[in-house]
Amino acid sequence: MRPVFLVTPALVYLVVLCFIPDVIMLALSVFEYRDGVIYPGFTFEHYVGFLTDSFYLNILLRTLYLAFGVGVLTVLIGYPVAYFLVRGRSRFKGLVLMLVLMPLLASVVVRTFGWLVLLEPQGLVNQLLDVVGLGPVTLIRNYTGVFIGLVHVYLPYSILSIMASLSTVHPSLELAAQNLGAGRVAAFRRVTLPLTLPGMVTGFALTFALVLSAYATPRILGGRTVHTTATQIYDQMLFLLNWPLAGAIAVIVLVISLVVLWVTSRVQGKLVIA
Amino acid sequence: MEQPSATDVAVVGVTKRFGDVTAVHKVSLDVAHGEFLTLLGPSGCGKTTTLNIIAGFLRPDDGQILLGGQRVDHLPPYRRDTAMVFQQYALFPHMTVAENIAFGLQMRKAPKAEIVTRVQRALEIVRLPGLGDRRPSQLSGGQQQRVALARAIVVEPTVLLLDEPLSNLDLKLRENLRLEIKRVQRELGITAIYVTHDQGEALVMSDRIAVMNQGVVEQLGPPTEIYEEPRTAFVAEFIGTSNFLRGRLDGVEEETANIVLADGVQLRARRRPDGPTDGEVLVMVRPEHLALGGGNGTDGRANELRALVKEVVYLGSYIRFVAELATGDTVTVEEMNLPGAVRAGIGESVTLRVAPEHCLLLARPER
Ligand SMILES: Nc1ncnc2c1ncn2[C@@H]1O[C@H](COP(=O)(O)OP(=O)(O)O)[C@@H](O)[C@H]1O
Ligand SMILES: [Mg+2]
Repeated sequence: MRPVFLVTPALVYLVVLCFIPDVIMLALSVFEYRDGVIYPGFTFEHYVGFLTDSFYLNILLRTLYLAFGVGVLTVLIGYPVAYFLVRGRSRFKGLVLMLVLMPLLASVVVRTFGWLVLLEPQGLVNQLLDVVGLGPVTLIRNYTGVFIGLVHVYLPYSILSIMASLSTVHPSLELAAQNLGAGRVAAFRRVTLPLTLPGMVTGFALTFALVLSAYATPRILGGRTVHTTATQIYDQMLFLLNWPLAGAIAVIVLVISLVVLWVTSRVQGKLVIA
Repeated sequence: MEQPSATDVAVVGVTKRFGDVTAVHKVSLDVAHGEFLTLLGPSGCGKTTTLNIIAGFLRPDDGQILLGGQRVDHLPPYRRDTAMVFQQYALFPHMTVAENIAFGLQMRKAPKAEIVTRVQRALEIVRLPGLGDRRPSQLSGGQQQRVALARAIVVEPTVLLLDEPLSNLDLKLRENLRLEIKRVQRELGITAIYVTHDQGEALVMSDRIAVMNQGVVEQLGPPTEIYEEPRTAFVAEFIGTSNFLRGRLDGVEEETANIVLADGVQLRARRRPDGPTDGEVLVMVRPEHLALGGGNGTDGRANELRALVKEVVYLGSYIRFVAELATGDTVTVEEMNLPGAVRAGIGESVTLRVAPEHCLLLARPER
């Protein structure tokens, strides 16, 4: 069979369900919008409006900040877990791997409601904080709660990226470094870390892009007080019926995601010359 | 002044278990300064484990390791003055060749200028000058292993450890590089422990060979002794080609013994002082010591065996015959392909002669 037939089903799927809607969104974002009515046209006013209005700009910056923070944290706390799963010799490896992957099997909504129960003022977390004399702390309907929830949701992606990278680093490299006089820290810093940087960058970029478009977690844990670009797109479309502005925000988020992915792939290229 | 220790490495009664498996059992080795010692044995006999214990990657369950006369059992790998050449090269892929070689010197906090000259020198020793700026991935397998060798010798370790460094290379390169490794080791006078399952490698390179089997050192000695004076049937079988004749002891003297084969044929064999004294035994004969041909010229001392030729293999400089004795044992005979040499065809009945001093009495391993 000619190779083109092999990719046809996936290609049709992508074109119909991803590319065409993107084009429609792009078109909508330059249409005119007056008094709740959309008129075909060509204007950049929604882009200009979004990027000059401090309310919207604030949402964008906070979302980027959130995505950056979640990306960094998932990589930092994901790394030791990935290391344990790839290099460890514990009997509990299988169990830990299952715990890591389990979140991917449950719906985001279900998991996020779980966090709502844990984080609410009378929830388990606050009860524990109370016992050690640190509580109560407001952990829902604010960025803290959203942050905690998002880290949990996207941690597996970082862990899996780093694991993939770590498993390409032969253990004998670390032994060779130690054999040549490097202590555990030096061996890690000079050998393992630089060789797994590509995995860390991938994990970060993946998480960053996913947080930018995350909707359920910010909505459920953030309530009506936390806005992100995704919740803003949703509100503009469903409540304000301002599809052109929603389209413009979506295009801006898409462009940012693409830029991040492009930059990281460039960085990757530099990292893996080896 | 203190007398410098002539022993660079001492392994004293080292035992290592992995769960139920005893990987290494009471292994003791002394390696003299500048000596090339090979651990030879089949896969899984505990060679790598022994090397890893010396390097400090593994802790022995029992026994001691001494480097340069000092006990190092309690020291982590990075505090031991060993340098390892790994089977999979283990070069750092994100560093250049020069950076790889410099790594050990940097860890030892050598001055920058000194590092540059020593790296340069190491590259010359392994005959790769000018390749310092390449990445390991831009080199062939043989070149990579040379870099690995340079990276190890540049730190001037007390002992160089090599774990099957040639087994990922093809035959031609292997034969080339084994001589190279030997040359570098001899030129620098480095003490080396070399691990291999390749008897050819061991015979060519080593000052002494330790033949290992199931975690135990069966015999330790120079290559000639290992080949000519094997202590056990395992050693005889593992190094070179051996014929084993099963028989029963029928009287022993100081250095000789009489053996009766299963078909009643009498045989005289050489016996070591610690050899078996009665019961079921083996007689080991190398193929090159068996001579094809009838009784003429027999001085009456040589053992004679009747056999049926089963196979003839022409190998150019010599001819190999596979023949079956009346006892059912099969023997291999190798005759130099000289003018006038005796020939025999398949199915022919022949007489094989072998001098008693080339028949070595061995205990029959209990299986
Ligand atoms: N980390 C380990 N865990 C369990 N068993 C091991 C381990 N390393 C080696 N072994 C076992 O110890 C024995 C000796 O292994 P090794 O030293 O690698 O042999 P060699 O290098 O001679 O091929 C083998 O039976 C092997 O299966
Ligand atoms: Mg091995």
